[in-house]
Amino acid sequence: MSVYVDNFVYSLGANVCNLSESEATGRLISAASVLADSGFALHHVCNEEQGAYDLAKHCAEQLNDELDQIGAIIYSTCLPQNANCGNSKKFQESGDVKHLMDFAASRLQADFALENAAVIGLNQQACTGMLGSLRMAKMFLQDEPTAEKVLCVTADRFPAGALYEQSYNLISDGGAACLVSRKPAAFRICVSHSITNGGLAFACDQEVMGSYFSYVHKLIQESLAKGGLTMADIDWIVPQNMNVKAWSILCRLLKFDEARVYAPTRSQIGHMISGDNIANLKHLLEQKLLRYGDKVILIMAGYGLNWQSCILEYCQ
Amino acid sequence: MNKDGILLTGANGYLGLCLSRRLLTQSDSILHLCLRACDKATFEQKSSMILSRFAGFEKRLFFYPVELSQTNPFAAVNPAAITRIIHAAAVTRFNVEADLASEINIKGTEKILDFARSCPHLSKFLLLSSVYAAGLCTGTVLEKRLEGSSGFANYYESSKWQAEEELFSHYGDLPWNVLRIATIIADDEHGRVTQLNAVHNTLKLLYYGLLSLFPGRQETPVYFVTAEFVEAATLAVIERSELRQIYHLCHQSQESAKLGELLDVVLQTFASYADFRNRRVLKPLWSDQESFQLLSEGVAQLAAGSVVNQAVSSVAPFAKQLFAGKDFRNDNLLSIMPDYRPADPLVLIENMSNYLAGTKWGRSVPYAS
Repeated sequence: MSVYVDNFVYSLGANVCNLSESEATGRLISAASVLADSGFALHHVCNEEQGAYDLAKHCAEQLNDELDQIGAIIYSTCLPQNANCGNSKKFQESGDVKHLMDFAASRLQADFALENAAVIGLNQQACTGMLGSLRMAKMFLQDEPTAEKVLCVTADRFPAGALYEQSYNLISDGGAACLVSRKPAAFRICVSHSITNGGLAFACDQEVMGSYFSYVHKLIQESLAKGGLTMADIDWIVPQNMNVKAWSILCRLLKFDEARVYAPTRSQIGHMISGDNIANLKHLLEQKLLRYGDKVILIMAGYGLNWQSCILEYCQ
Repeated sequence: MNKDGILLTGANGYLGLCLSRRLLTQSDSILHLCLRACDKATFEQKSSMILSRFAGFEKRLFFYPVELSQTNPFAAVNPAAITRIIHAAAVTRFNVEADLASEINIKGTEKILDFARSCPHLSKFLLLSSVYAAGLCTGTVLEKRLEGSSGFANYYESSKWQAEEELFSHYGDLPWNVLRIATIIADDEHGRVTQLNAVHNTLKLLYYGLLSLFPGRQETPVYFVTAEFVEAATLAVIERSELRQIYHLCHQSQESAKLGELLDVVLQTFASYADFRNRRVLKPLWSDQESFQLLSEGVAQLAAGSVVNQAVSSVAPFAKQLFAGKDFRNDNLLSIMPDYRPADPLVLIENMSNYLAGTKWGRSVPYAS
């Protein structure tokens, strides 16, 4: 049974900051000039009133007309605490752990009246959570014949005082969402694949960098093999927003045309945690660069360490 | 008084100490040891260290503070006492700066050659060079003067070639021998490592999962020797060489490991260590020169002060060499070394890898004597 994905939306933190501003306010580790050379320019930071759930809600609002027949919500967060809308102060005052289980996914179900939806939280795949959601959504639809659609949503807001640079990437608070359905839509989900190396669960930035190329290469090769494909079958790579040089190197290793690595939001958004692929894919669709049958591979790496991919086929 | 006096430059360096020990135990020569020392305190500290290491040989040891960058650095040495010279002093880092390589490796060689001319009883001058003086040429490399036309991977290589050229061009009348030495990766075949070099630092990167790209071609031979082999070969040159001959102190390509084999053996060996195994470090990807260059630039930019950058920048200067496969011949050496026996290259690499991983690159053992 084929499963499709479409309706890509995203939402960003309200405050737009340039590199110099963020450097001045101590949000960065690297010098602004270094991040600029890496391809970053702006990033988005939530204001005091804006929480991770607000980002998720804004994404769902953009999909409001499509939220009928939702059989499941898969709500992923990179930071586990972003899955809880509860007040930790109340827990400290009362000792009642229910304040640690005010689940964002449940709120979303209630706020959008998705009563028939199964609710699934996914919060231990870091930045790869959205691609993990696509994989789970496909499995859900294949296993639940009465379910028509799955709402995949991800949202993360860094806590106050956090650095907005992770593993040499400029970070934005942001959310993203899409709909996975059994009804034909923009893309057919061909292959989902993941690798987790728990041995590097608490890798330092240098180890993250050190493992990046070999693991991404392995991820891509295994994904292709899973789908009976080769690199020649891939028309576009839609990656996470990261240092521009990384994909120059990977393209040489993969013998892939670097011009077909599509990350137009890098400079204006930075790495919006789990939502980069969705934002970049949305722009790829809007630019009408795809031809019927094109295959697109989405790639993401995250703490854990996790690497996930998804190969899509354009169907319109 | 024993009339055989050997002047050894770079005597406080790794190879200098190895050669000193060999010469003290296997000859009756007086050793005139040139120690790099910028001041009296450093000189005394270094000479004391050597005296304590070679206790019992004090009467055969003389020390001189020598800074090759200075004018007339051998002024304190009596030329009449010197019958043989071994010039081992050099900056051997692959990432040596051009100015320093020129100052020490080229001009420093000129200075010792000038001094050699002033020695009335000189019977032999050994210039310790490197197989990498061959630069980026590929194919067979004979024990002959090198053209140098293929370029070099770094200033270390070019400076060693220029030092040889200085000797051939302007001091050809001296009783010279040139010894081109391969990379010393261990003290002996048991794999003990006293001095870490770029090879060991690269393996350290691999062990800690910091290098996911590896530059080079799998089939490129890697020319490794032990210090023990270099000592024995140097002694053979001292005792039996023909004058004005070049000797390759390396094993032949068929006796050496290939780069791909090196990586496989190292990773297999590391896999027996739980901390390596638990991190599930993948075998690095073979990368072309341009990709590794991009990585070097990226790491230098993003993580300038990091261990990764230090390590990648120590690999980068010889990365080009890993694409330039060579077939070094050592026929001259074989003719004077009847007991020549190459170590099994893969066993040597395994032993060295075990030593490095077992001691965490020497941190858990005291400085080797």
